[in-house]
Order: sequence, then C-alpha cells, then structure tokens
Amino acid sequence: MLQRIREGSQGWAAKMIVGAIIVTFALFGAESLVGVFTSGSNDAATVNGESIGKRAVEMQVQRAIRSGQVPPDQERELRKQVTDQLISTELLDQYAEEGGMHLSDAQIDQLIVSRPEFQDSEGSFSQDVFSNRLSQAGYTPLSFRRELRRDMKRQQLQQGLALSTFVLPSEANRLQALQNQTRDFRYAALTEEDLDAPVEVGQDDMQAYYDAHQDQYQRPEQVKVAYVVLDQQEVAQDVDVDEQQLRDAYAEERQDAPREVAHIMVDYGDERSRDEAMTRIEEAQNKLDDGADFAAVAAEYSDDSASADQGGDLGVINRGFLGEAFDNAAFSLGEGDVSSIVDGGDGLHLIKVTDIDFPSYDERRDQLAEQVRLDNSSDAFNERVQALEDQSYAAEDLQSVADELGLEMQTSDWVSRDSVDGVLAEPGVMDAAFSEDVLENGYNSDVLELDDQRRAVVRVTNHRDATTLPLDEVKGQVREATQAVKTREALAARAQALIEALKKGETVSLDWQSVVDATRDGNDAPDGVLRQAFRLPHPDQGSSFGQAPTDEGVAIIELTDVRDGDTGGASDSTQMTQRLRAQAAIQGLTETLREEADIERH
Amino acid sequence: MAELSTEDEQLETLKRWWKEYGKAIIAGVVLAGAGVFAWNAWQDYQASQAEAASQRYQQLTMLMQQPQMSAEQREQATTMIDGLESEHGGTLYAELAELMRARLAVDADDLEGARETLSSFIDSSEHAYLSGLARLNLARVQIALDNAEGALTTLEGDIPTALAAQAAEISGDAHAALDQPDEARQAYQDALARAEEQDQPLSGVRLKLDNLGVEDAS
Repeated sequence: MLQRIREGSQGWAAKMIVGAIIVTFALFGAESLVGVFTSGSNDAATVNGESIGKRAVEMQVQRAIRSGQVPPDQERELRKQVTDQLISTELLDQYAEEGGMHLSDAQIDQLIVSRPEFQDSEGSFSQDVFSNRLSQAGYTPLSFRRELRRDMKRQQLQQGLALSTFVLPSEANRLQALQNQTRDFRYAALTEEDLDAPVEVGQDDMQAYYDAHQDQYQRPEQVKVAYVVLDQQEVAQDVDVDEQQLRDAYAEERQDAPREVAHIMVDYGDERSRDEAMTRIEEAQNKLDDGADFAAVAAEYSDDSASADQGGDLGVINRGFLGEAFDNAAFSLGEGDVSSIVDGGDGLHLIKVTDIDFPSYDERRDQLAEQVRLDNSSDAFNERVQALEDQSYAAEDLQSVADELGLEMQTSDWVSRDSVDGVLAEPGVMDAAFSEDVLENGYNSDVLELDDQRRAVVRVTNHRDATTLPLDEVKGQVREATQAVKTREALAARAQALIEALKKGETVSLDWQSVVDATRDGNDAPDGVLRQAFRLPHPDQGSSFGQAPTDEGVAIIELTDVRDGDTGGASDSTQMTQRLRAQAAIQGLTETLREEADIERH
Repeated sequence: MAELSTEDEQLETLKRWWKEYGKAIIAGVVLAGAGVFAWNAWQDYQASQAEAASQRYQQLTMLMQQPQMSAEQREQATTMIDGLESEHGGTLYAELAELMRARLAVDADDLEGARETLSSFIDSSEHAYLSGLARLNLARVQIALDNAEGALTTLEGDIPTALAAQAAEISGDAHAALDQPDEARQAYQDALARAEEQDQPLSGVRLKLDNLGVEDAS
C-alpha cells in the first residue's frame, strides 16, 4: 500500500491532492486544519463553543501568585476566579464581535505607538522598548496585538454603556434635598427604672430563651494538658564563665565599635613619588616618636587640607568607611595609640584613635556574661534536648520525664484549640496537643521547637468533646440575657402605651430632650434615635411618634417638623450616582450574557 | 472499485472518467473559486465598513467624555451619531451612539427629545439588553415629564433580570410621584433586596425609603 502511494505521488492525481491542501492553507490558514486536531482536553471552559485554554488561566494564576498578591494556599479559589473572569471577558468579546465591533490594524498601530510604556526617554515610540516590554510580560507582538484588539473592543462597549448614562436634574435635586433634610424632634429616654415593677424571669422564659439561642451555649472540644519547657537560658545558669573569656569577648566587641580618629596623610602620585612620600611621612613619624603633638605635626605635614588644620580630625568612623587598609589599622588601635605607616592606595597615613565610643568593661560585664554563658551552654543544651527527646519518647507519662531532667511540669485547666495563652499559644503547640498521637493515643508529643532556645513536650491528660452546655450550667448567663430581653420588651410596650397617650393629647410627664435642625450625620442625639427620627413619617398634622432602642433601654421620639435640604452643590453626589449607574449597566450586561450563554466548565 | 491490475488499464479508466465528468469538475472548481473570491471581497468590504464605524465611534466617545460639552461639541456629536445611524445601522456602534443621543438631549434639557429618541430606539433596537437599558432611561424621563403612569407602563416591557433592582427603584419613584406611598415603599424594598442579592451598587434608595416613613419600624 505504502509502496503504491510512493509510486503514485509521481502521478498527477496525487499532485492534485497536495495542491488542494496548499490551497486550503493559503485561503484559511494552517489553523483551520490544525485546530481540528487540537481542541478539547486543554480547555478550562467553553463559552458558546469557544474555548478558554487552561494555559491562559494558569498564566494569570501564576502571575498573581508570583506578584505576592495571593497566598499560594488560595490557589484553587484564585483559579476559579480567574476562570470566571476569563468567561466574562470572552462573553463580552463575543458580544462585541457579533455586534460588528472592529478595530483596524491602523488603529491598533496608533494605540501602540501612543502608549507611554513603549516610548523611550525622549517620548517617542521605540521598537526596542516595545519588544522588551512584551517579552517581559510574556507576549509575542502578534499575541499582544490580538489581546489589545480584544481589550479595545471591550473598552468601546463599556464606554458606550457608561457614556450613555445620565442623571436627570430632577433626580439629582430630589436626592440632594433628601440627603440634606433637617428635622426637628424631641426624645425621652426610658430605662429600667421607668417600669412599674422589674420584670420577672421564670423557668419557662429561661428555657425558651435557652432553646432559641443554643448557638451561644456551645463549648468547643477541650483538653487539659501537661507540658514541660526546656530553656537554654536556664541551662546556661549552670555553666561557668571565666574572666579571660569575658575580657576576650569585650575586646572583640570593642574592636568594631565606632571610633573617632585623626590622621596625617601624605599624597603620592601626581607631585611626588611613593618613595619621596615615604621619606616625608617617616619624618613626621619621627617627630611624633620624639613626643611632638599630633595636631601640630598634622598641621605641618598633612596633605588632607580639610583635616590638617583640625588636628587631623576625621570625626567618628565605622568599619567600611575608608577602605580595608585604613580600617585594619584604625580598628586594631587602642584609645590614644598611633598606627604605623598605612598605605591607602593614593597616599600614606598615620592614624591616631582619639576616642572610642563604647561602654566600659564593667558596664558591659553582666550582659557579656549572659551572652558568653549562652554560647558556652549550647553543647549542654543540645545534650539535654537529646535526653528530653529520648525520655519523652520512651516514657508512659510526662512527670517522670520532668523529674529525670529536673524540669517543672506545668498543667493547664480546660482549654480549647484557640482559647490559650502563654506557652500553649505558641505556634504548633495546640496543633501537637490535638494531633492523633497525643490526643487519641495518649503519647507524649514530639519535642517542639518553640524558638532557637526553647523546646517543649506536651501531653494531654483529659479530653472532652464539643457539646451544648446544659441549661443548669449556664443558668446565670441565661437569666441575665432573658432578663435583658424581657426588660426591653416591657420598655417597648411601655413606650408604645405612652405614645398612644401622647397621640390622644394626654399629658405625660417625661424628661424630653429637644433637637432642632438635626441633620442625618449630626450628633445631637444618640445614633439609633437620630436614625429613627429620620425614618418617621412626615408630621403632616401635629406630630408623628416612634421609638428607638438605646443602650440603656428605649427612647420615645416625637417628630415635629421636616424640611427639605439645600439642593445646591449636587454635583458630587450626581457624579457618584452616574458612576454607579454606569457600573450597573456594565455589570448587568455581563450577567445577562452569562445567563443566556452556554457555558461549560471542565 | 475493483482492484485493477495494470497501469495501462488504470490510465484507460481514468481517461474515460475524465471525459464524462471533466467539464463538470472544471465548472465546479471555477464556481468555487469565484465563490471564495466573492466571499473574501465581501469580508473585506465588511471589514472596511466596520473600521469606518469604529473610527467614528472612537471619536464620538472621546467627545462625549468631556466633562462639560459646549453647544458646538454637542452639534459635532450629533452629526457623528447621525452618520453611524445612517451608514452602520444595527451595529453596536450605532445603537450605543443612539443611547448617547438621548443623553445629549438630557444634557441640553430637552426631555421631550430624549423621550422620543429612547422610545424609537426601543422599537427598533436589535439588542435586547440595550432595549432594556433604554426602557429604564425612558421611564425616568417620563417621570420627569410628569408622566409617571407612562413610566409604569414602560417598565412592564422586557427588562433583563440583571437590571431588576434598577427597575424596581424607578417603579418606586413613579409610585412616589403618583402619591402611592405603599406601592412605592414596596418597590424600594424590592429594589434593596434585589440589589443585595445581585451584589449591585444602588445609591439613594435607602434615603427614599426612609423618607416615606414607617411608624412601627425599629
């Protein structure tokens, strides 16, 4: 068969077939054939038959994770969001496409050329900048143009929706008048004392309240734990420190302390050779050896014009300021010492340390001792950690481990996973307590590393499951809550009765507070009272009444007047309203398309 | 076809076959070629039409983005909208432009003009969603023109569910204008509920609802 094809391919029939394939490619592009074989398994979703590639989703997910906006553990949620977003985008793309939206190559070119991010420092388009930016963002010029074209069409669509929204002047005025409305009212607060008799709470009331609020009386799963902590600081207390070690540590610290230095510098290079410079600085050195004053010698010999007249003073220096050779000399000197000749590369120096800014040995001693002890104790500590590990693994309890290692075993009361403090609240401790080995099998936990210097082992001594607390155990709380509810109800009823009386025009003695010209965001009355005062019906004849809960009880409100507000300066809220309308129009389109579309997620 | 044994026989069969069908095949190929050519030409024409519409639309949106449009700019915009409408009717470009025409009328305080534009848009639009948006806008203009009854009738037309919260708010406004506080209250409550359900921003409804007053609210 193959043989035949090979022979046949010389014939004109075969040429025609090849020709047909060439024609197909030329007219419709290679994708028309390739596409047939590649669709399917690589789709994250299909939208009206158009596929959204897994690769496109993945690229955005990885980009978001890399940029640090999203913690990796939310990847699944993120992937869903990205897919959703891409579906919306695809829907809008299809809508724009079907609606005859189109952008020519010339329009795209113009957009690219005018984008500031593709322009060089002089503000003109640069092909290099363009290519660089694209490859950084993972686009080819072709894919970027395709993406930009889609973006622009969507933008045209959204702009059209946004730019056709309007706010009518009458609407703007109405909202503004409402927003700036002022009201006159007075209110009187009623508290528990205003009730004729305190409310009575019976067993039935409590039971009813308890039954209706079971969620407030839940107790989570709890444990009692025992634990030991091994602390290197304590191990260190038993470690010896000798004086010499402290002295060495002090010297080492002090060596790097900032210091005030002065110098005499003799240049070489331009005006004199290194040998000549050496001769000159040796002369200066000799004078110093003979007891001459450093400042005087600096004034005479130093080429550093800035410091020569200041006694050679360079001020306070840290390591790294003046080059390695200079540092090595300056940081090996004691206070008042003068260095031998130092070659700084372009000049020769004599350096004098005039002051070292560092606490004295006595001042530092205690702190150093602690540090040194800690350093000395690391072997001992590691041994003890090893012992703790071995013992707690082998032991059937924790007390014997504590005794063996001379540690104090601590115990806790009932604690739940998230109601702990102190050592138990440190990361990993409660996780260990609730792990299968510790909670269910009753073993000691592994040795937990609290930080560099502390280790702990935890053991569960008691365990109880989550439960709804029985009424008897929470009677106090239930009584209090029930009482509060019943009091509020009684006060509301009392307020209502008073309101009825007021409406009939009866005289009622109340402690009224008057508020005139109250605004919505004013603070002339408690928040709840003010809010309620702005929700009462307009008092067309006489007054309208209402009540609002307060912190201590309830308030009766009598609304006497409502005046519409100023309608000037409406432009801010008008813009806001317009923006919201535009947003709703765009959001609404996406939702509508979503409802009508045939969307499949894979 | 039966397996033929020699090359000569094969060639003979082919020749006979060609004699019989040759002309038809050539005619077919020519026809197909012409078809492809015409299709491409049609596509090119379509594309150039679409490009022209796109460019004009782009200019229109640039113009409409001006915060305060001058009378002259409005005139310019209207000319562009006319052009889109007459040469590219039925496209999204033309329809969105037509919605902008209503806004231009509102900007120029010509509510009657806005009403006419919107109602003829609703009659002719090929995009259901855009007609829905136009219905909302029309109802609002009708309320401003003291025709709240007409607004309620407009709102009975097809409006996508995604815009239900907006529709409910406007219905509340219409009822409020007709001095029907109970219906208005119901509509505003409906608007708030739907806005929450669809996670949509809706400003001012709470104010309007509160202003209607509920004595026993707490």
